[in-house]
Amino acid sequence: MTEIAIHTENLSCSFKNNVQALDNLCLKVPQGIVFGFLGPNGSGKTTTIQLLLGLLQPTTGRATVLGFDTQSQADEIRCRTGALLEHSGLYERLSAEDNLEFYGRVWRLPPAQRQTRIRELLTGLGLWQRRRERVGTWSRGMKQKLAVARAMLHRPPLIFLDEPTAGLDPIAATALCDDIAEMVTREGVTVFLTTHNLAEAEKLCALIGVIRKGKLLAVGHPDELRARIGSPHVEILGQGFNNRVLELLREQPEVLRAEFQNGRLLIQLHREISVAPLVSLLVQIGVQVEEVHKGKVSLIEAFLKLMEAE
Amino acid sequence: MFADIQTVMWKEWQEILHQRGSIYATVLNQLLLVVIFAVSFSLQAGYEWLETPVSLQIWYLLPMLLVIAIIPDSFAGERERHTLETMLASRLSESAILLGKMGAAVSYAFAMTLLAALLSMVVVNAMHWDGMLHFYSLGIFLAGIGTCLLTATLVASLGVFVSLGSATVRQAQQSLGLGIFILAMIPLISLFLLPKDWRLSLAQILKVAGVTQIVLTTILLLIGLDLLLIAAAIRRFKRTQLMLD
Repeated sequence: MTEIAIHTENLSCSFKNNVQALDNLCLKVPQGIVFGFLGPNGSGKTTTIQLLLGLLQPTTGRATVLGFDTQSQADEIRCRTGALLEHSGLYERLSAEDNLEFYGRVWRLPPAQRQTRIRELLTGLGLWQRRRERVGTWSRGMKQKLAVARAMLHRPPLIFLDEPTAGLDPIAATALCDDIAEMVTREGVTVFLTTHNLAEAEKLCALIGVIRKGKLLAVGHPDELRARIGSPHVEILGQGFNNRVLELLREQPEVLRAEFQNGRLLIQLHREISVAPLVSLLVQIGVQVEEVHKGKVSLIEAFLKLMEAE
Repeated sequence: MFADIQTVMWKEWQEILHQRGSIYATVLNQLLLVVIFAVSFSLQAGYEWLETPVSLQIWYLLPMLLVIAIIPDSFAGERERHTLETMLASRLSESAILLGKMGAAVSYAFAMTLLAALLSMVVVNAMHWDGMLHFYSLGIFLAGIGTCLLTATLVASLGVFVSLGSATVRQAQQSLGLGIFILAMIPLISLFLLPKDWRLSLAQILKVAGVTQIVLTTILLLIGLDLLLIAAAIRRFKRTQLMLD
């Protein structure tokens, strides 16, 4: 049985100004995966992390992280997790090495182990040569990398990453994303990642939760979410399309819909399948197939449809 | 707990030492302040500086100024630079963070004041050389150390309290400056407001009590105030409250 890293039951949080930041969140995140928490700005992603770390108290409901209650055992949770929150949280007057040295001491790593780990992480992220520079002089991308290293310094079984690529240019964001993916694989940690970068979520996450205005709209594997929101489709270019072709296609059990559009044949499928038999069928009835484009609903489309539906 | 306090102190010291970019620039800047204090005060007093309570002024004025300069940054600065939340998300306990920050400010003020006091001793000996080396009298030196530590702790605990409730370092500096000014003015204004015969009685009591008793009473008063303010600051410092602030 898969162990659960994070479990929330009807978790709600509202602030003094009557803002309902989180509304009955029910969530289970298994251990050893990257969980992506998607949502627009102000949807409650950061509040969720703050509640899970015991930095805020829920109004109602409860949550456990690594088996510990967020209200009564928050210290235990903070001992076993790493976090890159909304801001990198780095001391800009200090060097990269001193920043990690401080948190290494905070996590009580013995000096020798601390040095080895700092070297290992900074080398892995390509920052070792610049370890003595003041962090304040670094680019945002480098700072975010260092903040990820800090979160993983004490080898926690669970890390929270709150929009780690926010504000980065596409190149830096992709590089950081690759680094996170590599480190997560190497260290085998569970990651709770909030983002509104859907490409990043698709690349990293085994499970995705979509949240809006504090309410969880959907949870599932990216493919599941896509399948739930829209079906895969095939676009065929060629000659010899007629109504008989359409009728024949509509009789096929895997075909949801078939129509002509601008001289192209569009086929919507019930699920992800091989389209070779369909193409074969078309050829048999005299269609001259020139091009076949198989497509599926992107995570962005799925996300937008979820937002619209709400 | 003690190891965690030390860790926070280490970080605070690093930040103090790097506040002007490099360690050298910071040390040079701080040494200038120490030299000015040490030389200007001790030159006027001569050997009296080492043997009478006149030197106690450096033991309380300098730590007060030094702590006022750095303590507003303790929480308001971390909040302004967005480093507080990450520290709160770590395994450090609230007391360790608070006492570590206070400890760093007090130890920094103590180290600089001790340096100024020793330097002023050198200045007195050099400028008024009579063939033998003069040291502080033991009583004055111990009273000085006590005054320094207690004054620094008083300002640090008051400063931490103010810094916790301030949105910016600037706001914390202004509030703390005003608070210290009011605290310093209260005894003076109270003296003016007292009836004349009360003032005469007070003068008589102080005269009878003597310097040692006055210094000891002041030290006891400072200990009480320090404990009260530290307890209030610990009570005020709650993670969840800081996040909501």
